[in-house]
Amino acid sequence: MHQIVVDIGEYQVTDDPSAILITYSLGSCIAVVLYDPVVKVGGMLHLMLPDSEINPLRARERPGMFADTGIPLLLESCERLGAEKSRLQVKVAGGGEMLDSSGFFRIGKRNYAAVRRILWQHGLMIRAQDVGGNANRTVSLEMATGKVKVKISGDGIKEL
Amino acid sequence: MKVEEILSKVQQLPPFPQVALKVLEMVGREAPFKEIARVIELDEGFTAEILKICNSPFFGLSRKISSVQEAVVYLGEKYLLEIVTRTASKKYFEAAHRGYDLQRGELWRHAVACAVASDLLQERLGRGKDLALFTASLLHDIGKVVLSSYVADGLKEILERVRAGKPFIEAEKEVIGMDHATLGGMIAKRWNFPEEIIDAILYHHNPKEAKTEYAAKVHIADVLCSTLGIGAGNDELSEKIDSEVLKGLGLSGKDLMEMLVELQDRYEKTQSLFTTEQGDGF
Ligand SMILES: [Fe+2]
Ligand SMILES: [Fe+2]
Repeated sequence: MHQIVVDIGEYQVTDDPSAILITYSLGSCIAVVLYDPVVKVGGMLHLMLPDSEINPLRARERPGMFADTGIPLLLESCERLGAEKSRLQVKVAGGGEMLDSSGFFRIGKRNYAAVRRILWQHGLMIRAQDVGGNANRTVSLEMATGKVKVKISGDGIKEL
Repeated sequence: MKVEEILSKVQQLPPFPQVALKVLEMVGREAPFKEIARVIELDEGFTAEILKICNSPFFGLSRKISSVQEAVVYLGEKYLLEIVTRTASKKYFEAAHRGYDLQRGELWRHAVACAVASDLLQERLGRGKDLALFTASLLHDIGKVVLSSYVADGLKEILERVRAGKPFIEAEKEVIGMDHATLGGMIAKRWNFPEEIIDAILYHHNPKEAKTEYAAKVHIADVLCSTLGIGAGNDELSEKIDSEVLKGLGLSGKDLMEMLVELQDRYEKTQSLFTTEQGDGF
């Protein structure tokens, strides 16, 4: 069993059944996890921001930073390894937020809204999710089983 | 009783390296760089660290750099001073801090990212690099270093209060009788830091109460790092954002989002110079 770490603003896909994809300490970022149980192909994206318009130049160099450029790439990369869209299990976690009574920043909410919209545009439905609140999350995907685990700092581990 | 015990722990912290304080003071009064370099050169440890960085593969120099005066040509004055501050601070932060659910290296990454974010903020506001602000940002959570084990003991009660909507720092205060910002301010005072640094550490979660603008800037830098999840642990997302302070500096939501991209980029570049290990699972 070996661990593949997904860095912030990056994505990883694999068809190695002994691998575990993991991404740490999401903050307001969101992890999008795709998994095809038939061919055991999966991927994970750790996106930071909703929209590549924030910095189009960086989006070209590092599309995984943004929901609108990262999600299509994640999907394509999984398909290239043999995953089939109709079989993909989609899970989403992250998007936590600091206490913000004025609602000025709300970056977690904006990220989540963008993720939902872009997944929908690609015909993907979210099967399970753990998003929002003041939770800081770490997420893993076990390739052999497709199990997605979420660890919330200070609140233990649960399966999505 | 507990508070007295915590304060005695503060006394046991190794003192902040004198060279770093001296450099900070000299930069503050705009002493010529040559004089500052001479002060650094008197300290073998710091000189060795600077030369190590200068001679690292990152710079790919063909010949060996052997003095601080030479190093400045490659590093630049500002960056060289930054290295002194970072070298002085690192040892306090590196360990795991289980009260805050931080693995080894995570609190240090939070500190460095926050310092980088404060640089970016200065640039966005059209102001120059400020070593005092950089230092305040680097040290803003120094109180956690001492408080962590007490937070670990009272974690159940603290998290109950947090779940009921209380900011983490207020829960610390209620359960332990002390919070990491107040304690951090005490540590900075004990180390003889200048007033604006003490003030910024003390009020980094309540910048409205601060005497100078430093606290507001550290607050914003902290918010940016926590948003990216860098060393955010179990507490940072349960702290308040002071949006008045953000607006007061003329920052829009768009500014903040643009800064998140810049922060991630620059933070990664810095990381390649100062090695830290990844986490090791849940
Ligand atoms: Fe703090
Ligand atoms: Fe912090």
